Amino acid sequence: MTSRTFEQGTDGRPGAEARHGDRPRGEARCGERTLADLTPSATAQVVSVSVPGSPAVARRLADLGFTPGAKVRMLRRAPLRDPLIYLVKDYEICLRRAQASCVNVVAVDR
Amino acid sequence: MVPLHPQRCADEPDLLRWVIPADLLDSVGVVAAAPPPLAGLLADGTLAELRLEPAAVVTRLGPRRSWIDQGPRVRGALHAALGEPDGWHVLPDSGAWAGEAVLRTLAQQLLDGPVGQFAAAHGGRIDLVEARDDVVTVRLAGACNGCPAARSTLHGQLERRLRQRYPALRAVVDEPTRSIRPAPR
Amino acid sequence: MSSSCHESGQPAAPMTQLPQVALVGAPNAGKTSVFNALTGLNAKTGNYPGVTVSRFAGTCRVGDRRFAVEDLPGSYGLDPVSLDEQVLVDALDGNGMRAPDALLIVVDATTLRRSLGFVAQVLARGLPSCVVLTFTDELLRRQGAVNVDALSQALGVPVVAVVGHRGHGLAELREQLLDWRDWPTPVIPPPVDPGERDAWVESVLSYAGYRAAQPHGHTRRLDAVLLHPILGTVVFFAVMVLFFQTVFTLAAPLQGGVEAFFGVLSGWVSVHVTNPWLSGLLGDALIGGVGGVLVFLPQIMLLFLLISLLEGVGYMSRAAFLMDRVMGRAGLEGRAFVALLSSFACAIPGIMATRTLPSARDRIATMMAAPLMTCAARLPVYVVLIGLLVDPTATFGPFGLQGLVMFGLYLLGAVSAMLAAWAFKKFGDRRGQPTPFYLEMPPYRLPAPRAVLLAVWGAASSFLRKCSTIIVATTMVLWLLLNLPLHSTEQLQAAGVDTADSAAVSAHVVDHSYAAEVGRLVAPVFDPLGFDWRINVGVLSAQSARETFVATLGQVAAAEDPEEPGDALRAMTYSDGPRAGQPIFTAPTIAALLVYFAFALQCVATVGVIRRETGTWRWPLVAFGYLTVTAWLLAYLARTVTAVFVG
Repeated sequence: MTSRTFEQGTDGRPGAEARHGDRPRGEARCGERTLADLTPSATAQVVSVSVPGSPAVARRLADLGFTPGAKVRMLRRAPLRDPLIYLVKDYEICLRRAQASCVNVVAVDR
Repeated sequence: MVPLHPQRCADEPDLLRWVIPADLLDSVGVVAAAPPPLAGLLADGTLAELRLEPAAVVTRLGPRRSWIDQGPRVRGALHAALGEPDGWHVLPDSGAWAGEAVLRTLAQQLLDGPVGQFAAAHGGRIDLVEARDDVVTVRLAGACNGCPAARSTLHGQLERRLRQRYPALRAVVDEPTRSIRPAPR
Repeated sequence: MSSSCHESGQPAAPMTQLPQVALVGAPNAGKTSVFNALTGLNAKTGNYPGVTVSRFAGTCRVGDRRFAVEDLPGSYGLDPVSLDEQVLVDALDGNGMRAPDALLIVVDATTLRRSLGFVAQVLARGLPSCVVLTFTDELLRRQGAVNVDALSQALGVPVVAVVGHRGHGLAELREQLLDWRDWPTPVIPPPVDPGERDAWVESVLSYAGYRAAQPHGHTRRLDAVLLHPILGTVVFFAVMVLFFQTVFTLAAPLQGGVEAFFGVLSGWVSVHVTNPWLSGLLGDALIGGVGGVLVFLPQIMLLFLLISLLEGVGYMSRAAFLMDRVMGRAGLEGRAFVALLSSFACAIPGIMATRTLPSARDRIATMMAAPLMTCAARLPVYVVLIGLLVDPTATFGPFGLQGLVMFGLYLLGAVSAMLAAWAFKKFGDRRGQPTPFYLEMPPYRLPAPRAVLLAVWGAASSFLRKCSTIIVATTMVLWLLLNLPLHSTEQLQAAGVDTADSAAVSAHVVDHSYAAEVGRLVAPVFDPLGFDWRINVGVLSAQSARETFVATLGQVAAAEDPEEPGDALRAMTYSDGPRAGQPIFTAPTIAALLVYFAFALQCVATVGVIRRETGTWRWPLVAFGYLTVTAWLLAYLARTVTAVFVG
């Protein structure tokens, strides 16, 4: 079963890696914000994680701590505005915009 | 979802103690009625008994069943049932089984039993001062008083055994107010 | 079963009969230092069958009992998103190798809230498990707390706190290992449903009295500078210049020392071994070959010293963060930068540095690109050829033209390396899915000296053990090709060679060697590039190591005009064929040669180290093939274009 999920993602996103550096693909629905939209030192709460065509990547983002309800704080951006560093579940993790835009969030008051 | 996790009960393999937040359900006693998913498990014999204890739900497995098979179902039912705390009806235990008395009784049992014996074997004694607000206060006497090993004895034996029976335990302190913190190894 | 072939050198009881204990955990959890602490120097590096994933296995002795300990690839979860993680899951399943008997789950106490999700996934597999809690000292220092006994109760498995670099808790961990058959298991496996799992984690943490560590003050303050958009970039380049300088400059005298030592050794052989042929075989081929291997050692050890220091301190993640966007253009990630940078000094340590990349696909792409970076061995070749091509007084604006051409060649190497990485990443292995990029930013820590030394030792010993045979053997074969058949003194005199002049003798021997025959045989291949058979011999002998080209050409030229080898080269003419009588070293030919050297994989040691790191002959052959073909095509292009300009 595990080896199946490993290969499943291939079909869904051919060449997705090559496009990493570019702006996130238009999967963020209007009105809902993603982690990639946060500005440094903004805090938000994860609503859902959706990676079209790649359930394994979605599960990995959850393994990294981006689970519904988790509080995430954006810490900083790299010099060329990508990748980004977040504080989640008491530790710091760096994501590329492409992955950060798969995590849907709502703003919370600090 | 309500935070919860199961722990085995020392000598009774058919009992499982589900640790839940201490402030969720504050009565102590046999559960007479629970929200439907859990009530269903009682009705079909998966569970034989359901008790509320401080910071825990204790479930007794029905005959000829195993936790490995039934555990996930019970867990799912508990999650659903704890989502509606108002659906729980508990027959409160009489007298001694209320709140602090439980903690006091459990602590005294341990001091009279294995932990006390351990202290006595080393020429010392541990007295129970009080049990309040989920904190147990004790007094070290005899060879225990001032003995560096006494801390680890207290920690390793009393606190561990006590917490197993009473998950809401916050700390065991020795008089006057020295708190036991986990020591780096 | 299949693992036995990798431990063939194992003494005493075969490892396969020992209880197998595997370490699992997140990449930064301190798995390696626990592994090192348990196995010491008894660890061996190999490859998992059929994949380019390194395998670390060793033995641990507790009293009179021994355990086979394996450090499985690090991961944040058991749903694999990379080849390495697939290996981890296969290893846990016993898929293609023996499944472990027991697991040590290594968990960083300061990231417990995230890590327990991983622990839940591992415990759900039902193998006897023990949680090894690392960095508890740091947790306490940062005002965090956790009750180890309560954590053990809540998880239902033993928990041992270990402070790896101090050795605290290791005795307890060894004791625990003895009881692995009796380790308690969770009465119910932790939940699989993500919501239930989160609830389980929170409950376990609260039962264990967990208080998260406060943000690390030093880290916050340092990151404000080191990750600052401008300051951080400046510091990064300063660190990289220092890094490169150390690997390049500091290693040079050490390498010179190694070379000098072997020079003396082979000189001693040529004095004491009277049979000239045997003395050549011993002195030049064997000692030269061993020296050719050992000469890389200072660089490898320095590079790994620096890498493990930067890694141990936590700067490597920061460097990767700063460079990720740039490397992303080539389809690589930030961590590949260091490997490519080191390849400017030498591709061998650079290829070994790809071990720091978490994804096998990235490792392959970087290894395929690394030989294109302009390594130190190309420098003497470039110096000689540019000296022939460009007038030293010519300038372009304020810059000397020679320097500009040299800079252009370095740039050509870097750009084509990036292009190659991009191409291999895009078209290479289409089976695996693209690995998402994520990188933990650990707090700055003081590296443990033991871990640093072990990393240096591991790199050096694996290079020596695994590569030396390949490199020495190939050097010997090349030497034999260049020096056979044998020529007696009479034969030499009959051919009109002054036997007292050793340069003339060796020139004659090379000219009439099997290699020369091969050189003439491949003449049709290199003819379009304008190479004559003598250059072909040079190119062929450079196949073992590029700098040999200079020596070979020097020999040939010196034979004709010992006073001014440069003039001799310039005056060299084609000896046969349609171009007979025309000068060889014209601008188009030199341009073709420069481009050929910029691309061709003329380094036996690089081939050997790619074989070693990937565990298969496939990748070294691919690298050799694609680089040689590209070199030829682009050299042809360079010759044609230059010919058009020069007229």
